[in-house]
Amino acid sequence: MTGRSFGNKWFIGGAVVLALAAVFMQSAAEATSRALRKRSIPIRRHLRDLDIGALSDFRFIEDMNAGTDVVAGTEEFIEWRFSPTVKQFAGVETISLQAYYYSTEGRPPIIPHTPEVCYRLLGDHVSSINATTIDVDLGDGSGFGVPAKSLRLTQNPKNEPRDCCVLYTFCVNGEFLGDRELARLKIAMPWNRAVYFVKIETVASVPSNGDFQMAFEAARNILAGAIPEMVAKHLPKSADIEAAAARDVSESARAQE
Amino acid sequence: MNTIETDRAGEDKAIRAALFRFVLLIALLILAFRRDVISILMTACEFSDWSHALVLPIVVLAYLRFRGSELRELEMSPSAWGLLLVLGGLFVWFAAMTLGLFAYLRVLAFWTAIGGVVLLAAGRSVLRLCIPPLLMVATCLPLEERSMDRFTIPIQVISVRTAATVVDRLVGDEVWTDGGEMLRRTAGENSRVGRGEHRFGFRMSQAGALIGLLVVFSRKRPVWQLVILAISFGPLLFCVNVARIIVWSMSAWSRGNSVVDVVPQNLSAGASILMTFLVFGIVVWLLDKVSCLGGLFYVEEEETDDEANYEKPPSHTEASR
Repeated sequence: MTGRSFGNKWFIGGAVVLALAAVFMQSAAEATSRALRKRSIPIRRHLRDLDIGALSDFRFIEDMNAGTDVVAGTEEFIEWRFSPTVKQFAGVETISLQAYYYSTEGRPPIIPHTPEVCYRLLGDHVSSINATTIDVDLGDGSGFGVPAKSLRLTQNPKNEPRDCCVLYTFCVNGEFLGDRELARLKIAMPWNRAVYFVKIETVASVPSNGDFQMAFEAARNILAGAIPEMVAKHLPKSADIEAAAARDVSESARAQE
Repeated sequence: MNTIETDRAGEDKAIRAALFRFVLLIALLILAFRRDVISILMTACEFSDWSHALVLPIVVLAYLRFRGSELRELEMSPSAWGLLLVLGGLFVWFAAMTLGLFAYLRVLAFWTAIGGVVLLAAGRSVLRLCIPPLLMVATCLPLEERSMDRFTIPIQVISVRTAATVVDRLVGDEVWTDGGEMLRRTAGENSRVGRGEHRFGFRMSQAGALIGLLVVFSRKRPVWQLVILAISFGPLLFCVNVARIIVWSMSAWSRGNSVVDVVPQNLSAGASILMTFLVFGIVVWLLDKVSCLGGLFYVEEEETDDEANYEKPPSHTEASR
C-alpha cells in the first residue's frame, strides 16, 4: 500500500465529499424539508355542493358513497352516478362523475392510483390509453382546453361484459394536467409553497356491442360541464393560493394541530 | 525474488489498496445514506418476501469468489467519474428527500453512488466486472409500493391468467381470473387465491433475479450467451412466477381454499426459489453445451502451457549482476 496509491486526488476528493455528506446531509435535508413545508389551501366550496344543473344532459341517480366520510384518502370528494337524458347519449348505460380534492400541511399531498392501475386490479381489461383534450367553455365566450387521459376498458369480461370509457384529469393549483407524473412534479416544485390538487374522473359504460364513441363523447360532455363549475365556484383562486403561501409556517402548523 | 514474484507482490499491493479504498468509501457512503440503509434492513427483517436482501452479502461474496481470478488481473486506479457519480447520487437523494418527490429516486441515488464508490476505489475495469453485483444490489432495494404497483399489476394479471389456463386443465373444475385473483368453482361454491398478491409476486421475482444473476455470472461468458440470457431473463422470471402461482393455488385449494393461509404462500415461495435455480441452471448448462457441441463459438481463451510457464527475461540490471 504505497502512499501514491492512497494519495490519489480523486479518491481523497470522494472520501471528503462522502465524509461531509455523512455528517451534514441528513440534517441538512431535514432542515430544508422543514423550510419547504407545503401549506394547505382550503377548498372554497364543498364538492358535494356542486350544482348538478350544470350537467343538463344527465340525470342524477345516486351518490355511490353516501354516508362515507373518507374515500381515497380525502374527506372532500364526490362519487355520483348519472344516466343520460338526451338522445345523443341514449346508448350509454350509466356515467359516473368522481372528484377528489387534496391539500395537506407539511409533506406534499400524495396522488392516489390512476385508473389504468386500479381498474386492472379489479379485473378490467385495458384496451387502450390515449391523451386527449376536453374543450371547456367558461360561459363568457372564453374557454380553454383541458388535457386529459382516456382509457378504453372492458368490465366484467367473464359475465355481462361492458365497454367503458374512463376520462380523467388533474388540476394542480389551477393548472390542468393530463398526466400523473406531471402533476407530481408540479406539486413537488419548491416555489409552490401552498398546493392543492383535484383529480376529476368520469366513467361512461356501454354494452360490449354498444357504441364506444358515444361513451367517449358522454364522458367529455360531463367533464366539460363539471370543470367550469368547479373552477368558478369550488377550487381555490390564485389569490387564495398566494394567501396560503404567505401564511406563516408556524401558524399553518398550529392550524394543522 | 524473481520478476514474477515481484509482479504478484505489486498486484497484491494494488488489490489491497483498492480494497482499503473501497471499504473506507463504502463505510462513509453507508453513513451518508444511513436512513435508507436502515430502511432496507428493517424491510428485510420485517417482511419475509424481502429477506433475500439479508443474504445479499453472501451472494456478492460468492460472485467475487467465482470471479476473483479475473479481478486480480485488472488494473486498479481511482477514476474521476466515480466522484461525479457520487456527487450526482448525493444531489438526487437530497432533491428527492427535500421535495418529497418520487421516493424511488432516493433508492436510485443510493445505487448510483455505490457504482461511484467502485469507480473511485478501483476504476473502470473493475466497475465493468462489478456490474453483476450492482445488479444484485438493485434486486434488494425496496421500491415504494405505489411506484411498484404501476408495473406489477399488469404483469401479475397476465401471470394469473396464464396460471389459470394451466390449472384449469389440471384440476378439471372451472377456473377463471378476476384481475389479480384466481377463482375456482367446486360443488357450486367459488373459492379464490391471490388477493393483493402482485407485490408478493414482484418481490419473489426480485429474489429470483438475485439467484439468476449469480447463476448466470458465476463464470465468464461469451457475448452471444450474455445477449441470449439478457433477452430471456425477464421471460424466465415470468415463467417461474406463473409456476409459483400454480403451486400456490393448488396447495391453497388442497388445504381448504383459504386465501389467508400462509402455508401455501410459503410453499410457493420455497418452490419459486428452487425453480429459479433449476431454470437458470438448465439454461446456462444448455448454452454451455451448445458452445461445446457446436465448436463454432469462441468460449474463453484457455491459457496455453507455454504462456503459463513463460517467465519474463531478467532486466538489464539483473542480467549485469
